[in-house]
Amino acid sequence: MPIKVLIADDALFMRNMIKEVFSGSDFDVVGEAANGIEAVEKFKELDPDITTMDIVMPHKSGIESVRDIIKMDKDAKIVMCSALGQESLVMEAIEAGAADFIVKPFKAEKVLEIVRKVLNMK
Amino acid sequence: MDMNKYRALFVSEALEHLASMSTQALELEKDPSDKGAIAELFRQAHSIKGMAAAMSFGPVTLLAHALEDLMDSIQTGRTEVSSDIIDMLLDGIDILELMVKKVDEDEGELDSGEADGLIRKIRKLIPEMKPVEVVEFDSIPMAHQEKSSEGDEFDGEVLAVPSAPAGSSPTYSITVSIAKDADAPHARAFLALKKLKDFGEIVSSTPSEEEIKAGKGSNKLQVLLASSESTSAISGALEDMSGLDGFHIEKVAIQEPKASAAAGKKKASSSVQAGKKEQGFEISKTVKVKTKLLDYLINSVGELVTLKSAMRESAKGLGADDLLDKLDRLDYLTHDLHSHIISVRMMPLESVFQRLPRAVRDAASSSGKEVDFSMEGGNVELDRAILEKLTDPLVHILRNSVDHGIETENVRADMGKPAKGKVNLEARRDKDMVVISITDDGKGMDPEFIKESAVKKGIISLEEAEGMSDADVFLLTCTPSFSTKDDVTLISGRGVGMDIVKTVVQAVGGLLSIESEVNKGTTITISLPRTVAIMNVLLVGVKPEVYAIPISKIFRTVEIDRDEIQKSQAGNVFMFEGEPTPVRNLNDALGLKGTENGNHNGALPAIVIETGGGKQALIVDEFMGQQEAFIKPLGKPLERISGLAGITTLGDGRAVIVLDAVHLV
Repeated sequence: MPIKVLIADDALFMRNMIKEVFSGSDFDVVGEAANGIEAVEKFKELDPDITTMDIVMPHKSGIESVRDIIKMDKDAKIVMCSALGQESLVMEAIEAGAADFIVKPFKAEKVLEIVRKVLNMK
Repeated sequence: MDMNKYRALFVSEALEHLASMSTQALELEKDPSDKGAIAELFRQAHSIKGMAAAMSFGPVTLLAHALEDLMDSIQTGRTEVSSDIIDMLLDGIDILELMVKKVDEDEGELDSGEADGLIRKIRKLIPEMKPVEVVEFDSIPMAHQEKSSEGDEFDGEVLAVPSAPAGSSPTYSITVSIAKDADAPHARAFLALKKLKDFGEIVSSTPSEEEIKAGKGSNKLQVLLASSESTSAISGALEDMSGLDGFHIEKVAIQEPKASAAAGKKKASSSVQAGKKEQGFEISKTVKVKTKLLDYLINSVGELVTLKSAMRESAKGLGADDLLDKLDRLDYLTHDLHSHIISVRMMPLESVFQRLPRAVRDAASSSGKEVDFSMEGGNVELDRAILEKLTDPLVHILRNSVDHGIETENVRADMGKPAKGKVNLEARRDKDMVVISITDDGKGMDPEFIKESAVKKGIISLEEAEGMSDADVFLLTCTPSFSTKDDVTLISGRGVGMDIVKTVVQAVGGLLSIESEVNKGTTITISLPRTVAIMNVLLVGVKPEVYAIPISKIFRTVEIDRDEIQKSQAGNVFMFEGEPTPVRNLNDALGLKGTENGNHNGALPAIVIETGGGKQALIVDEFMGQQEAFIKPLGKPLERISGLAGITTLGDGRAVIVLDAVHLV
């Protein structure tokens, strides 16, 4: 059964890139969100196995979204996407419940490795 | 992953963000306490940084990062908004735009010289930014070696083991080694610490949780963990962690209890990004479409229209009424399709307006003037193909207004004008045209002076000058020879570059007109067609050719009796609606040799058109009917010829040139 993925990032550009990472047959990108509020809604609606989340997004930050999702489902697996210089935000996200993180520019293999590790930790 | 296919998307999104940043920066300049603008600027800089990082565009990433940190510093109150800051911000936005555009054109390596300079300036200015991904890999001095009981791939360095408290759970001493090339090593250490917490209680850690959060620490994390879980369970978890290149775990003997200085689990301060209040929002039901696709669609519809006309001709020829009925239906469908595609192609002027305040501000500041700039009508819509040609002319006209129209503060004071010059841009819709006017309250232009200058240059003759309306005189400033720099001072410089503006406006089928009053100000008006439309055209014969003229540009069709035509100094005229109206042959206007037209019992078919300076009549050989035409642009080099608006196909397949009658005369 393919792994259900939810991608949250406000840049269409990034969502497309991440989608490509998950284009293999063992993954199924079930949804995309362009801001924090959508991210939480879609999580509720789609119940993904794993969510990738941008750290800073409009309307609701990635970190807040992580908090809300974890509130709903404490086992939710969320991987944060960050860029240069965001270590403290990443750590905040981890504290809020994110399972792991990837930093841009990212290599597809690295992302998949992290995702697989996260999912094995059930 | 192939980055190239994301390049176009990166560029378009990045440019959108930059345009928004420009607007916000100007808002911030007006009101330095505008929290909304500060938050937006932060977010936009951050987005650009993220995208650039994903594409591995180093220079862009670093500059966007610097701007992001600058905004962060402002947001947290460590830096105050000053005009220097605004300048740096705008500079940064400009440089980023240049770099992004270079990326688009794939101009090889990005030259980061300017960017580096600005980044240094910014970093000097903002106090105490958190360390940027610099991890000190100095190893903590070894206390003593301890036999590794797990014997895994570990370099053997063991840190001093802090003493463990008394307790019922066994305590493990765990040393984790963060990979030297790990991304965000502090975050990795933090994550490792957090995962270990799942197994029990962290008695102590070196570096401590706070130190890690503050960005301190090396690539070694030493933890004392009180846990009732098994060694293998904990090892298993550590093995599953990314970003580590080894770990070491062993049970420790319980020692003298020491005051547990275990760091309390500090609640992370939830710093929600200050920013705009959350408004009700909508999950977007829109898509992004490549403009190439839109162009293709409109062309396809054009072909449909042409084919439909041809089918109609055939059906008529065959007397197939049934078919003609069906073609009526097809007519309706094509029009419907066309109007939908047109509406997709329509864009509000706002997208062009965005860049204008900036242009005005720059012109004002570089010429040392104060200008109050206002815009209206950003919601008026226009076909995107026409819209994209508008930016440069508008910027140009505005610059002229500021540079050469608005006087300096002193001069204005002397004249009793308010110190700040006023420039206003207004757009409105007028049936199927869009009218944009730019008004300034500056020094205006003197028609007499321009006439003199033009006569001196041989652009017009003295007689022509005498008969000219002021409107036409002002338009003279748009002739190429008026637009040289030397004339700038003589005719108060309005001409600079105006010839290009006029050409661009005409090329999209628009009209430029100028009004001015000395010392009061100047108004420049551009009227543009709203859409790339399927137009009704009148076919006229000018033997042996057939031409098409858009009906919307024809004021009236008439038949003129030969004896109505009177000769005058400036050419032939006839009385039309009580006004003497110039009249000439269309083939003369086209510069063609024509046959004498004379087979209409003395009555000459003519079209009356309206130009900026009044009406004119053009005589043709015959009227050949009306038809619907999709007008395609001529393309280079024909499009440069004044008087030609495009090309269309007749029902029978003939290609016919569409005339821009207004600019023929």
